Amino acid sequence: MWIKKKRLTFLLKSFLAISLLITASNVISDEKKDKSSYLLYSQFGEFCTMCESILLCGNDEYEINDEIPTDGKYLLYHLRTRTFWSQVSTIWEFFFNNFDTTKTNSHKRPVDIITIDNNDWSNTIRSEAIISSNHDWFIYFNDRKIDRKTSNWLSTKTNSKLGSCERLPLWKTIDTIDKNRKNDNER
Amino acid sequence: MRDNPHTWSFHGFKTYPIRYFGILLLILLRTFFASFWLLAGINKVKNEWISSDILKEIFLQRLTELPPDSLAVLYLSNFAIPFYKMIAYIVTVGELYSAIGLLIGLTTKWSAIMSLFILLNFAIGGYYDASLIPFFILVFLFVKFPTGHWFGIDRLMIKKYPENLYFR
Repeated sequence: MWIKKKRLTFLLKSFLAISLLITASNVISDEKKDKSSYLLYSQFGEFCTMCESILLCGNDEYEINDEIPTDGKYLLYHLRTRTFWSQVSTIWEFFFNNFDTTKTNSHKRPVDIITIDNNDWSNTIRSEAIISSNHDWFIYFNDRKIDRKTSNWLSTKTNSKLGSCERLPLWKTIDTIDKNRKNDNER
Repeated sequence: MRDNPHTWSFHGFKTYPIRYFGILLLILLRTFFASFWLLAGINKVKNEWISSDILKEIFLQRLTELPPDSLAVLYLSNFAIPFYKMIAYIVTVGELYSAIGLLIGLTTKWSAIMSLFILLNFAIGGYYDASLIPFFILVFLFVKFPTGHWFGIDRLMIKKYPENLYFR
């Protein structure tokens, strides 16, 4: 009888623990769907750990239309996959984001920056980007940032608009980057 | 027998502190892993994985992000996308089963084996990153050690059904 009582208590405690977790997870909102238009955000959630993306930013004089224009001055940001430990840290991020959706989330990842001036490509500079979400929807580079809601390209210091950014098709643009790197070597 | 972790005792803690610490740590990690899995499973239910074609859309998007000549693209194109309904069901139900099993220590080893199966499929399907490494290590530990006998319903069930493979 005592064992049965103990067993029942244990079962009840287990179910209570599960119920608490389910209730806590309800905090997750349906806001995800509304944010799918934000830069690097998809209908399935935040920019993924192993994803790469290429953003082209320039003043609004020229239209980008999925390709790197041959005239005008641009900055090309190639956002790389997250580093090893940053990937491991996603375990905590996922876990705690289920309970606390009020805080701003951000993560760092490597970024390659290339300046393109009238089809003249600079050497690649490796830097670090901070991708921020939840309340502060920006992608921070050293002296510039991108507003993920509007795709506006801004100065980090003055907050003044420098132009706008567009996400380019990944694999096609990587080919273009590689070709231009080869051209660099040939020169 | 007194110091066996199957029979928790203060004497056992004092005599074999490292052993008991390891056992407690593994049980804590099992609870954390199970909670993670439970949240993931609940998210999938809430996102209507089983009743909609959302998983197909997720796979199609992933195809655009992966190197076109990778094994993951082959796996997604030839297996995961054609059978996305079945996969959605297996992953959602599998995660929930593993989570509950590991959380309450019922059919613990089978729950861990199910987790291993799901993790392997994530990895092959292109959803791999370094966060899978600690998960794989943990799952192997849960398969190897009888954590359900240390703490869980398996502890009671194996006494009643000593030959039953589910509670081993």
